[in-house]
Amino acid sequence: MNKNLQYIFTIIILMTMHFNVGAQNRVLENPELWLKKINQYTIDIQSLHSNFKQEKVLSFLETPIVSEGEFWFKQEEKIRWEYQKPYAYVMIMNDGILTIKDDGDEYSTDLSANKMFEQMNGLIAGSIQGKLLDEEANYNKLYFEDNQNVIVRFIPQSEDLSAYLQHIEIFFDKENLDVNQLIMMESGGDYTKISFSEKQLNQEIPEDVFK
Amino acid sequence: MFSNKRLTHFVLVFGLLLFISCQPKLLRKLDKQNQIEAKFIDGLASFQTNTEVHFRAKVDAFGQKISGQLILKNQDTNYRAVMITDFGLKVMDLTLQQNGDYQVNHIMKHMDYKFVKHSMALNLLMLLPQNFSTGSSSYSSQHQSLIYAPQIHSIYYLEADELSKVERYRGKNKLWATAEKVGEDRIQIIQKNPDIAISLKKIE
Repeated sequence: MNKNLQYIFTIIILMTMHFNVGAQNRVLENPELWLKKINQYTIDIQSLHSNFKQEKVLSFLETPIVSEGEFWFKQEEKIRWEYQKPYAYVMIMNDGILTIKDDGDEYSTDLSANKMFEQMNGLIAGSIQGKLLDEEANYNKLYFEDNQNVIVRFIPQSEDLSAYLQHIEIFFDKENLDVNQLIMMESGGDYTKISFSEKQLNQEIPEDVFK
Repeated sequence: MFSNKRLTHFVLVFGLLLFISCQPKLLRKLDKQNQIEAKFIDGLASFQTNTEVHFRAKVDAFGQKISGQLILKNQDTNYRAVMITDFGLKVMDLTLQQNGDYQVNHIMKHMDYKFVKHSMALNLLMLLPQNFSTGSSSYSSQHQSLIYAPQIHSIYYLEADELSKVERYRGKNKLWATAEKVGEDRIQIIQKNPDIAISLKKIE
């Protein structure tokens, strides 16, 4: 009797979980159509400058750890993350080199020596440019939607990256097809959410920004 | 055969010898004040009344540099220490006990070595508050008082009852690691062999 009750409760919990997830993210219908739209839009993106807010959710903390700053992207795969709160910190990825500027210190490393950063760089640049949607080798992809976004979930195939991340979700705005949000999900349920705001597309960005 | 009295005497002398031979040599030159019954010291992390403290953290170890945030949380019976990269990825997640026991909940694949986990756990332990109990002893030098906690092979340096430095020993004379306050809100941890440098700045 007890076992039966347990079984019924488990089924109810699983069903509730399914409906909760389903209420937020639905499986995307016509992913090919959306991908075509996103690709057509992103192909013309030469540069992007925006603000970002990074929230790290750790299960043992009651509130997320929040960082804020500015983000720059320029063809080909030049990226600058400038963290301004709670502390100043700059991370530049340019021409295969990762440069960190931190409290007066500056050091560079070859991105190819850091598989995780290299793949993250490719992932972010690729998603802004839409190139990533054509990527077949390194990720399995699943497609979802909510009321505002088309959500592409990238599940890493390589052992290197899957050791760090369970999956990455990129949220494309249904209205203007911009990247709104990025979620990096770790095994165990902790995750990082990066939201982009006040986006400026295809404006001149000086090369010095990436030095 | 030993009589009960002689046996007790032998055990006490043997215990004392064992204690003296295991404690760092430095302490033998100092005046021993007393055996501690119970004393609480807020660690270098300085929780004060908070259950959580956050640090900007830079770790330089084994030729690699990692920067991000270190979060320490008091969970009543133990402490949780989690470091994340600036990008948000979890580097390590440890549960620490004040007696030096620890559990590794998560560590990044490329750092997953026994000596790395052990070193990091013991280094972070030096930041935590300590409840000194029987077995710990206090000593005095010119400007400082010292407390030796044999269970974790560490000496706590206090200036005007304020903790300024913690030293961790390996064996009786080998200083293994030092955690020290450098300025109002900064802490530096230096470990030798394997070399690890951890620089922390408190985030308010």
